[in-house]
Amino acid sequence: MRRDEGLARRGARRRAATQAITLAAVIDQLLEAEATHVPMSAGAGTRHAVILRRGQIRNALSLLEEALAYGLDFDFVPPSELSGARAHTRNVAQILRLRVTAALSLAPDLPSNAGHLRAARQLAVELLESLGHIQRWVLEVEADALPSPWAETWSGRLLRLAALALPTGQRRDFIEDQCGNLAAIESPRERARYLLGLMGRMSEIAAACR
Amino acid sequence: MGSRRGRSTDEGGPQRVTVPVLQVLDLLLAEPARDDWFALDICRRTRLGSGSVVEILFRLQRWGWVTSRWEDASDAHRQGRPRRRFYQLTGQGAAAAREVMRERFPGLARWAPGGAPT
Repeated sequence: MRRDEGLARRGARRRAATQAITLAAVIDQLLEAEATHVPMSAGAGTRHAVILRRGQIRNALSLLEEALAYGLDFDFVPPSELSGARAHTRNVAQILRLRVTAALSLAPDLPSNAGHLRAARQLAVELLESLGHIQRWVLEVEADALPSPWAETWSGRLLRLAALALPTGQRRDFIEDQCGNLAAIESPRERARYLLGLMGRMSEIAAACR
Repeated sequence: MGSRRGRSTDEGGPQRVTVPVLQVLDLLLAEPARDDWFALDICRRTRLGSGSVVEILFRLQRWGWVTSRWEDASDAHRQGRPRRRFYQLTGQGAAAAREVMRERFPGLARWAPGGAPT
């Protein structure tokens, strides 16, 4: 259950990142469209593009906030660094909302506030970067703090230590797989031999799985 | 083992197939369609160490000779243990493994194309 929840939150953070990219791209398009702004009578096509882009920006921002609300709600007590990164990301999202609202609050036939739009674009990029850091941190934390009962056995703890040699994304799977193998060994001697065999070759295993 | 020498050069396929790798391949070829090989089983049958077997399985996977999947969680939990990672020879892997076996043991008919082990 917790594993599924963790995956779903990871997916939400990925969706948030996608929306941040979309937001930055659409802001660029809006700035470009408004740079060639012409009176309504002379440029219906351009005006249409502007209205469309403004709608896309509002939509991307709503989806971004929705994904962040779920994706940043961790199922574990985050270490201080991660907690700080999350607070920063939430702050950036709030300022982003303010900037977008300010940029688009003018009447539809007036150009958007380019200064606010450019600031919003920078914030979207900043958000993207923070989300990338958070995603990596969460992977580290999840791999290191396995809630599974088998990871709390003495052999599970040894495996957790040994798994530090592996790439972050593969540690948890490795530990679960090897705990599964160990649990099927009845003889303590064979179990110890199996575990020691793994320990002795962790650097080779790590190299082979890269 | 040859992993130190082969590590940086065998990304797309084997540069050097060591004796323990041959032992594992020989076992997998005994039941090429089996899709639930797991590390402990292979250790017991080949009498290789767990570290060697896990390393070999990772490497075979990187070469595309085997694929892996997780055991069904409900099956594992019914037996009160964590899930295992299951491995299966791919078509390409089986063909390549037979080829390697024929090269290394030319006198044996056991790895003839499409042939079941004797």
